[in-house]
Amino acid sequence: MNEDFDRSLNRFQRKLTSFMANELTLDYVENLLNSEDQEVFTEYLKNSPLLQDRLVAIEKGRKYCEVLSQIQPSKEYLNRISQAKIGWALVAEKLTWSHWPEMARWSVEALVVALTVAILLPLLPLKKISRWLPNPVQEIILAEIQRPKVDLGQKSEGDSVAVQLSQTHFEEIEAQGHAQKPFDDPIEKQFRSTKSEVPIQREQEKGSEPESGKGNKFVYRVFMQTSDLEAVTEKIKQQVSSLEGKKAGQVELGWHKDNGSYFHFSMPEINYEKLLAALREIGPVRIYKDPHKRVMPVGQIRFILVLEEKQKE
Amino acid sequence: MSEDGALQSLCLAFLFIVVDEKNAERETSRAFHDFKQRRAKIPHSPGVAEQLIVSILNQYLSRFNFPGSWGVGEFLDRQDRFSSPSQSKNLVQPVLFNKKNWNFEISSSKKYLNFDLGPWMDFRKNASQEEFISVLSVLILKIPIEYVARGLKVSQGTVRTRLSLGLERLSQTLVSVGDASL
Repeated sequence: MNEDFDRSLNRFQRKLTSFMANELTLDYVENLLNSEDQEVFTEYLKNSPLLQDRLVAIEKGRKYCEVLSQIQPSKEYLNRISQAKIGWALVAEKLTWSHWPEMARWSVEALVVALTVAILLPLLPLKKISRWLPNPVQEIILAEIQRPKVDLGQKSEGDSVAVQLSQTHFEEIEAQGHAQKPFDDPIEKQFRSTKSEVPIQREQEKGSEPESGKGNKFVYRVFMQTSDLEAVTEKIKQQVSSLEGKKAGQVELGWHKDNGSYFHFSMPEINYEKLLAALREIGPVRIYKDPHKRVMPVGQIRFILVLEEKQKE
Repeated sequence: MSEDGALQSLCLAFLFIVVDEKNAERETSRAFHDFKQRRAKIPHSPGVAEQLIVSILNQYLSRFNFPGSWGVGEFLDRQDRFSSPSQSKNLVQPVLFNKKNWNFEISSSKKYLNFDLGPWMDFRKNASQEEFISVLSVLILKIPIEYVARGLKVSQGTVRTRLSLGLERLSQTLVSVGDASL
């Protein structure tokens, strides 16, 4: 009777599926299963190598975690953390570069690059560097002066530029007082070449008389050529002296150059016609009356005469 | 759980999450600050602190899209920089701790002085967030499964399943790197 009852019980004994067995593995390890479940699980475990492996793996993992859980922070460490200032840490985190907006980061980077270039560029020895670089262009055009028309009734703008530049050049020569070629200036050469074929024409004849009362704000520039430089220079010096001309610059009248002489002088305005007549006797004369910042006394005029030796052809 | 206990748990948790003592200290400070603020708003009852700790840790892990972000960004650095003298291929350099900050006082066995963080690093890299936080909370922080389940807002059975899967994954890591740590 009892045997029959046990057989009937065995017929209804619960059998574990693999899913259920897996779910109960941890409980089995922790001894949380009741006696009946534990018996069933043990029975299943005997016939399941996979479950045995799983059981071993879980036990191994638990052991390892047990090892790690033994680590404990020290009291000093805990105190330090509990007293840490969180506010500043949060602010610092917000201000970290990685938290900035992308646009702000790009702007700052661009600013840094621009500042770096602006600081470093002036410090670079660009002149030295440019010598090392291949530079096919050896000439630098400072100014382009167009050849004026033959009619000089009205002076072109280019002329005035050339005159001002050449005047500055001559004044520098006077101030320095040492050997320097007054005719080496390319602008002056250009100036002279543009006027080489122009007939003599006086500005005075066009009614540009010196302003009376306020002084004379002009300078007369005279260009001549001669084949006998020494003789003509002496002759002009005598003429100027006889007409009460006095040197205006620092160099003597007839300051000799390699291929010319230079006269910078002032004289009474009434002797202008006499001087012009005397110069015309020597040779062709080109006279230009140019405005100048230096004001001459009333009745006095200033001349800059350049006498150039004619080239032998 | 008192505030000191919570701080201790957070310290340990972030040590095993970040595996970088300096960053763990920073993150623990913030988490503890957050813990205190949230604790003040909740009426006192058993297990509240544990639930809060689990919740805070879960939020922290979610922020970094665990486990995808472990391999990139700052965590990539940390993984490369902080590794244990293990046999794991991913870990080359030893993890360095300041001895003043941590107590490794396990007198019964000297193995703890040479414990290997390599398997844990591998586990942290390969496990899902659910598995990781279950193992961390239950087996390392010793938080009861009931409170872990409440903190994660899941059933206890779910936590047990995740824990089981997590342990299995961890043991696979242990097999792959050897049993030097045990």
